[in-house]
Amino acid sequence: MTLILFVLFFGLLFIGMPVAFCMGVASTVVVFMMERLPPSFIVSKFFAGLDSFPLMAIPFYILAGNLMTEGGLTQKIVNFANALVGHVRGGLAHVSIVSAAFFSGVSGSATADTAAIGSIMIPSMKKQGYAADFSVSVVAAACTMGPIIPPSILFIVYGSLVQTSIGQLFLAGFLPGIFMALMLMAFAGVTVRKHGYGPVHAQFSFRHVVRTFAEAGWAMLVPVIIIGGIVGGLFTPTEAGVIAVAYALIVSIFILKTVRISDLPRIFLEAAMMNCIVMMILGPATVFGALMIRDYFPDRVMSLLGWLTSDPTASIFLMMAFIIVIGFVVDTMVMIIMFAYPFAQVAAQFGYDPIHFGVVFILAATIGGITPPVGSLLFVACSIGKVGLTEGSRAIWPFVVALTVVTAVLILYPPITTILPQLLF
Amino acid sequence: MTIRRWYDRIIIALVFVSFSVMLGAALIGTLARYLTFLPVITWGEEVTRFAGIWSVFLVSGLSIRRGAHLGVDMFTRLMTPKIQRLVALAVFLMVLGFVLILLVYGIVLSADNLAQISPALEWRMGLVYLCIPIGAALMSFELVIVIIHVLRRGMPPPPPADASPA
Repeated sequence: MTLILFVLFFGLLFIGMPVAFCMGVASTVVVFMMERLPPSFIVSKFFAGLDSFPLMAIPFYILAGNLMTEGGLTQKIVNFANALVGHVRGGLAHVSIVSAAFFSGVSGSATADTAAIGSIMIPSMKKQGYAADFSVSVVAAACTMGPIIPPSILFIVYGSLVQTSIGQLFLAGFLPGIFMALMLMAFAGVTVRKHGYGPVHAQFSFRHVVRTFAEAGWAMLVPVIIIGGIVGGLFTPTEAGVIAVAYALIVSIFILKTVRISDLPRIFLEAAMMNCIVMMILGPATVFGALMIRDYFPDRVMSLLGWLTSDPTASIFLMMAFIIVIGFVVDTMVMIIMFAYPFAQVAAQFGYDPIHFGVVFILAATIGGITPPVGSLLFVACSIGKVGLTEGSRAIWPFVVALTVVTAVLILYPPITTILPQLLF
Repeated sequence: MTIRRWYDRIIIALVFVSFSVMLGAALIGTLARYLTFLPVITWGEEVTRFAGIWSVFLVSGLSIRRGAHLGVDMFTRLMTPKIQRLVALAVFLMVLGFVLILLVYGIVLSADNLAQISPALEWRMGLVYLCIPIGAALMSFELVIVIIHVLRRGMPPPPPADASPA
């Protein structure tokens, strides 16, 4: 049955059906084929899949990010990043990575990060003579930090699928996110040296850093509120999301005055639509997942892995290698929905820390967002850079290697992920 | 066209209202725990969830018109225009079929649960579930327009520039 589901799903996906409906149509066919399941199973599971307070954090983090972008705070974050690392050789590439890291702390969606950072950084890199494929790749790769650095929609989805603490996942992603930024900068540095791209400005000025930080301060406070609130036990991640929205509304309307109240219907509609795309995947995915579990899919994965190896670390490596390889043709969200629950079950049986496994899994799945031919972050970056996917993906490989190395290191050294949640919770 | 315009306005207004209610309920629920002068509410989470789900289904039709749900065109691009057209038609018809199943069984689910009461608000769950058939109706309406367009012109319509509210 799982096989029929998978064949149908990928068949429909490759003839161009949107992901949301591939899940729905494949599950519907299977439900109608099975005599013991009533068709209302589809509708009730669909609703039940969305009927969760933790999931309602998703529209909040989308809206908070959109409000910050509308309010012009992305440019201020970029200015601050520029003051910090603009003097390094190949400055703009590093500025892209650093601003993506900061913006990830404000926004919950990697696609939104790519659109926001990309629309500022890709044109300016091209103007400075950077190769288009390199500009596109740096931004797409940098935005893989989005789901790892809190807040993160993917952690929310993972936490609610696997029943783990979303707050702890948020904290656990913090250090791996910084590690990713450093690795990406190191790998970007190699290409930059080869092409001889120059710095943005000649000298590092501490005064400039302080001034741009003050201007970007309103945005910088968002992660402090979210993480502080969750760590301090004041809010759940959903409540922190709504506080972030309230904060973004007050800052952009009343303090910076960059958003008018009459803009709100348009901004809300756009956020509702982005939210609808995610939810329309999650709803049918619940039906799909329920069918896989009825078919004992997690147990089958377990027995297959047990046949291949008996070593826990080796099996984690095998699962992540599988995710990264499948990631070439499947996008991040699909992999999380299909494999998060079964793989997490397997990892739990091996005695793996669920938080640690969650971060590693989300990172491996996020790499799928930048590996061609199917990767949403690469799509967005290429369309901003006005380059074709084949061209745009030429320079992505060093970054794929960098992120794969990060994944391996995270598997081998759990403290990078587990130390913050252990210290603070 | 004026009917279409009113339809858009009403939908956009309803999306705005449900989205705002979701935000407002979550905000009041959160603040009420800390600002002791506010009355403690028990319905905050439930209103947030229900309004959130309603906003998803209310905007689902518009998201189809805007072409917001992206598919993979890696293989379809390699086909000849004629086959592309047939495949696109098949895809939209299958999606329509799925949406019509949501419509029919959404009504069944609502009818079956009319007596069931939600824990905090004590609302009839059957009425809450109505968002599914309503959303399915909106989606099938937009899908029919897309399918007619594919039949006439051979390609799905480009996302309209006027899809965003004025």
